[in-house]
Amino acid sequence: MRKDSMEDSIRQFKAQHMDQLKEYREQLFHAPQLRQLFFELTLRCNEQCFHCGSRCTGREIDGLPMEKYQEILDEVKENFDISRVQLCVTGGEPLLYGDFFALMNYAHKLGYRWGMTSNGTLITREVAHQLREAGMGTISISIDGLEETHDRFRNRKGAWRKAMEGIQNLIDEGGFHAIQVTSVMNHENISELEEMYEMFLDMDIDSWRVIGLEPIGRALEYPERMLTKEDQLRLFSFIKEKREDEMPVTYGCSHYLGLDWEREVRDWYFLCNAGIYVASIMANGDVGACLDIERREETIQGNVYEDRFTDIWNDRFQIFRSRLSRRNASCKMCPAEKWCSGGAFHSWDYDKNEQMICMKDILFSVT
Amino acid sequence: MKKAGRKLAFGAAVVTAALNLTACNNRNAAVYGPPESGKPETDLSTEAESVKPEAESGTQTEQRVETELITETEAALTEFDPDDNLNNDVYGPPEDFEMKNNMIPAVYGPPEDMQ
Repeated sequence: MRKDSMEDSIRQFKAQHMDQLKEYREQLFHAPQLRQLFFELTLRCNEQCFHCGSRCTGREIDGLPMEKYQEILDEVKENFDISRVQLCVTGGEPLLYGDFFALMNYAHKLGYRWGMTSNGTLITREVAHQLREAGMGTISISIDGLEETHDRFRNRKGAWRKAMEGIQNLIDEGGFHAIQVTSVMNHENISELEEMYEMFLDMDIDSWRVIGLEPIGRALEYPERMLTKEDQLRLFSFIKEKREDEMPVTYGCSHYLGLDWEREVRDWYFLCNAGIYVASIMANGDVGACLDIERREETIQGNVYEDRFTDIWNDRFQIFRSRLSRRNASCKMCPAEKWCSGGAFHSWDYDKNEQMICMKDILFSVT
Repeated sequence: MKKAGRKLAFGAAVVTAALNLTACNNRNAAVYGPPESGKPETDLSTEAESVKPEAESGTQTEQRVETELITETEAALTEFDPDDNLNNDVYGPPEDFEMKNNMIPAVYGPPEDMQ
């Protein structure tokens, strides 16, 4: 088969798949399925990352009392099919939550599958063992560059070394479904991509998730660190090349990427899961979709101290169950709208009603 | 990092499957050797059918199995289930997940043979 006709066939496959996904998304708007429930266990953190989405450092605020989390877990088990729900714990640094292991053992005993995101610095051998015994299946540890860069971005000397030790302790413990490293790439660390890859190549991790810096949280204070168009192209080309070499490097969930890049840098087609698959309970009990979405009146759907989580999920969340693109005239006119639908909810500027980052004219063009 | 054992970029995976299919259907005598009878493949199939209609030669069987395998592989790559359009590795359930295996009896319950 000739190269150009093969490329046409691949584009047709993708277009058909995304048409199917578009129909499915409409169904999900009417019949959402809770598949990921995030608990923001604490806003305390032992690092001070410049790109922190929750601006959590220095806030000595823990999440809900353990009894409240237990009550929510009981309620969700009663009202949802938890064999399809993944409990995801995050923070802050979730291991700083005082009752962490008591809570996760409780969730495990109820039959929840759970995973966590962590900076890795507190994962000693003993903690790795406790995590396995508490039934943790998956974990994603943040490494944002080579040693000097990582420590500088996280404003803590020795953070890189501690995090790498944490990863190794998890690998040595064994028995987890997946150990993943997540890296947030920006204009300053993009030049370290290859060296980071070589570093992770020697480690027995299951995947490397590489995402671009998003203009949210504290990162808004560092516009000079946002990825340029050239940086974005470099990032996506790098991921695609590694995946062609059968290496499990993957891009995150953000952004519609255009026909030529969709399914090339991640295993799935773009679909913002916020509010159709994903719900979150924030440290103060507020309920929203994804924790990275700007927290404001229209995105907060309720509070677990006032309403049951189940009722909030079933009766509210309308903002997340319609297309963002409806709010923006140029999005509505865009030929890619049917697949993009306005992009990810965490990447939407709710004041200007536009995407903060649109990959059109960066990765693809439309006519 | 653990190698996947397959191309993870969709386009490259489809191309690989298609190239395999092309190779399977377009055997080159210089590479794969001449037909066993020494006659052209078209004559061989006619002769085989007239002599032993229900049997296939080893080469034909191998080729048919290989073709089916590659077609199945290609179908698996290009078929799409929107319900499964998720990153299952870290933020979703593993495919082989079973609730009954999500417990550590030694910690959370008595051994099954406990009297």
